[in-house]
Amino acid sequence: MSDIKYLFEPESICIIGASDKKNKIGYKIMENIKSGGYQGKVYPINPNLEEILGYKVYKNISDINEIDEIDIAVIAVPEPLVLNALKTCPSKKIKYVLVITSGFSEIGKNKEEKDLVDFAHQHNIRILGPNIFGHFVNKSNLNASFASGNIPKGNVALISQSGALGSALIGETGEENIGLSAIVPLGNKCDVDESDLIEYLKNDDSTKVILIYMEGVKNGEKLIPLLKETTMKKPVIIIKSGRSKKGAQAAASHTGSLSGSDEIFQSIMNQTGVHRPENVVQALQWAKFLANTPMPRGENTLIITNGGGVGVMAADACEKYGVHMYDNYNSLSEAFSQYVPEFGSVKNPIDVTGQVGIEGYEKCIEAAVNHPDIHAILCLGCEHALFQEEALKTTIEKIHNLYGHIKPIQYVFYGGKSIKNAARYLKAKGIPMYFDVYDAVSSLGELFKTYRYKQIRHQFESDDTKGIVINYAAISDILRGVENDKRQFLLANESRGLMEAAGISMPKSFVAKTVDEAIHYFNKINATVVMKIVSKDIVHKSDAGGVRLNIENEQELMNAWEVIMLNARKYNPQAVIRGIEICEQINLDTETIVGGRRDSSYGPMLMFGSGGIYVEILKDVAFRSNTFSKAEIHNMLKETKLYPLLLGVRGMGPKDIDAVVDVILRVALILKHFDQISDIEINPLVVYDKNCGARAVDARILIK
Amino acid sequence: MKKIIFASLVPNVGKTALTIALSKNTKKKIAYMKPLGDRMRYSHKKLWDYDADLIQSTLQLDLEPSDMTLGFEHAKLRYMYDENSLKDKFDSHFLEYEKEHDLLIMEGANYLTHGASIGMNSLRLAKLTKAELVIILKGNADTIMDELTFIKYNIVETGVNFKGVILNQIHDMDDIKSPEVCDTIKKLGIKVFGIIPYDSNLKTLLLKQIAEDLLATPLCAEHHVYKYITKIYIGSMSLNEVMKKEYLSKKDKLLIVSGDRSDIIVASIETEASGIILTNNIIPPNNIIAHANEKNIPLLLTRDDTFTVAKKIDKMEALLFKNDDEKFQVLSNLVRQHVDVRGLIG
Repeated sequence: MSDIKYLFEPESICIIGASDKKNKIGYKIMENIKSGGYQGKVYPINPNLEEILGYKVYKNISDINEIDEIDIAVIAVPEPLVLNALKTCPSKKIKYVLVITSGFSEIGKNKEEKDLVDFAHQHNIRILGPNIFGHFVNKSNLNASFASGNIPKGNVALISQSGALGSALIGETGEENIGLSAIVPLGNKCDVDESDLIEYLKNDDSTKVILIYMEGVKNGEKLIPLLKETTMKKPVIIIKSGRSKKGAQAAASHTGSLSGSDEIFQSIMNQTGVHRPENVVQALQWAKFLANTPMPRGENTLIITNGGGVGVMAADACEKYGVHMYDNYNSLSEAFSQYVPEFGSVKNPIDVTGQVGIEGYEKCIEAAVNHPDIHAILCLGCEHALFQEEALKTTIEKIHNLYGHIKPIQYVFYGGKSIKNAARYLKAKGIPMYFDVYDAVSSLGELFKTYRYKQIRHQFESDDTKGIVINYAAISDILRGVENDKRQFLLANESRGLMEAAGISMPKSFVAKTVDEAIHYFNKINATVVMKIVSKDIVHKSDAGGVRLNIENEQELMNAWEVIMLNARKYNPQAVIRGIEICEQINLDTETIVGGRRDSSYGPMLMFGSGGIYVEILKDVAFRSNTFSKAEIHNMLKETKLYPLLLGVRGMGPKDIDAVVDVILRVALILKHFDQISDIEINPLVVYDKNCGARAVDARILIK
Repeated sequence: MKKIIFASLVPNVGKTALTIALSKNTKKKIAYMKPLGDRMRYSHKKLWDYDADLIQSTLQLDLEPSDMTLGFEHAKLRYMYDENSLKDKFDSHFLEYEKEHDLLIMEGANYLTHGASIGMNSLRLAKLTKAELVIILKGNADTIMDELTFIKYNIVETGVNFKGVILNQIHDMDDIKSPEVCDTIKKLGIKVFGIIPYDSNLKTLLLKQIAEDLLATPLCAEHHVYKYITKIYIGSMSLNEVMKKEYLSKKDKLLIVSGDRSDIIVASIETEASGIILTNNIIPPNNIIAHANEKNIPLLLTRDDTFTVAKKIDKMEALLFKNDDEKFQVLSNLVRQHVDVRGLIG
């Protein structure tokens, strides 16, 4: 398939459906191509025209004789004509086709859309869309869209699954003075998806930040490693709708895509270092800040303020967004005392008091920039008589020019018209000026997240499965037996066999077909046992009365045998009963749940959390895309409320976290090696004290 | 100690009920066994038969219900007993009972062939324990004549210590007492100790039994399940149609309905249903549950669909419950009026 580079750096473009009527999309696209200053070859196609905006018009692609290959085609004809238009493209070896036209899968016409894709792929063509407004690429001076003609140029690339929102974001970025390096709508995402675009943008020098609006993920297995790679080079910000059930439903009807579980998506964002804002405004603030701010060299922030109240607000905001405030009093005193009035404060926030104008800040900022242990600066101000609009503008602009490239410096000033005027002026200049401290600190928080992520990211790439021994052949045999039996779930003894082959400790267990076998196994186990019915026709054993606990002697065992058998036959008279599992009963300690599943959107996923019978009520779980890194798995554990218990609380010692991590790694390896496994759930995985291991009490395994 | 074994050719003929009724019509001290259990109860790792527990409570026996039954399930019983050890087990029980009891009534297996492969069917036990065999029959004249004939040629003539029969739950007494039937009985030479008429009061299901048999989860008012159900309805119509019918005016009614039919559920609560079975594992809104709780109307939740629940209830036989004094009185009167108690147990 063609290099994605052609989509962004085409040397030639044809527009099928070009028009000279000003109210037509075909005209608007032509107008934008021209006004954008595109220098490549342009071939409008329209059977009824000779010329549009100075460009020669061709009746058909095949009429273009001067060139053998055209890099991209834009199709802007009514839906019934799109396929025919597409069919003309192979004659000029077109690599990418942008289908502007709507009326495909977003309204249920899935077959028609599939026909486009099938044809395109047969002829080595990739499709962007359908249902898009075109695209814009700054470095190519190409605006092949019917969106605004005035797209500010800059270093933020915008990918949008919503045409309307994408088009509106062009206006929004303009308002925020955020320049764009590229705008690529995905539309129905029938072929080219965000992964394809990110593959290009991650290496594009003109792009400093990638901003994505998406509603659903189709191929998480492709996207996730790409995001991990990209976030090491530049920030990725994803606005994903469908957090709420209503939102998800709305998304489903919007472009025919369904959003997967939001918790899983959020986990993946955490795992891949992607920034996920709450809303568009926040997304734009972050994009602008991250694109234009130097990376800090540490995590200490200094706040300089002229008012105690707003300083406290800033401190609150720092706590909310995980921004660490520098707190070495002696060092602060030494550095700032000379610039702060006696009745001010040299604790953090530094309070220069209302007695100084903006010039008073300048010295403090300079001192902070030169301080080796201060890595970011937040300047807050409340309007008072000493604040003059012009002084504010010139001083901050000067400070920014002097120091803005050295350390992150942000400004928040509260006040009336003159302050707002100055703030707007400075914002327009690209200076990090905000109208509210929470907006400023939220952006700073994201910057520090990127910083932290880059510091530790290498740890998450390690493959810590070396030395883990798994009997893959034995597992294959078990799965083959299940498939031959045309089942989708493993029986208890099969799950146990799989766990044993995977090296995950489970209690001793045997399946007895008769009472004397049961007694024999009971004596062999020589401990308190649990008894469970074994039948492919009885999945929920407890519901069927097929489980008995705390069996301590032969009489109890025989009684339990009777109970289980009769209950099972009553529950399902047709059930084929293979026997009763006699299983060592283990002492309970901290109950956890470990899971692995093949998510339809995101691919293989791992899960960890609080386990036991209340797992669906507590919902204390964390997710990760399949990983073989102990550090990544530890991070997953830390996201659960259970984690402090594992560390040890209230005089209780720590639990064997290493054993838990080992089990999760084994589950990860099983998911990797066996595509046919759709779900593994170990619940509970009982975790004992440190160095005493963990044991899987029950395992449910499903295959596709 | 005299020993009698009550047997039946088919299940649910009233063996336990007759045992209770006889005990109330004699001064003899009665012991009881049900060697092969069929109504299993399990708690705290102990196992016993429901009927044994009922008899123990009603007759105030000093014996433990768990001792009155040897087991329930073939595999276990096969493991535990062969013919000799089974006989030894019975002998040891008899020795114990003899000390303080005049009569031992053994309740045979559920139906004639039940337990045959492990030597615990009624005929086998009668021979093993040298007990007198009394067979309880129910049905109409034709089926009873069939069964009597069968008994004569397949049971009596095997040499078992056959004592006679009791005809129970007879709907058409005239039919049973017709010359044809009497002639047959006379020709067969089978002793009939009693012909007990059917009494519908004994067949009403207790809501508690329904809840237990369905393994239903009580959502509220779980202590108010000791109610008899005389009418059962399935909530399938719209509320408008329901209001046209007589349903809402009936007391002691049980409603079977899917848990999302709030309209019908509320209407039933308002008209004081005895209970409501909620099917498909659908839990109604909390306000409805609270309302039912206030009115002491149990809401009983099951996983099964409505059809399955209706089928299960339709097949249920009404069990006697402890403290069911009203029914015990009815039983006692029936036996006193229609059974030759002295001839039967001396």
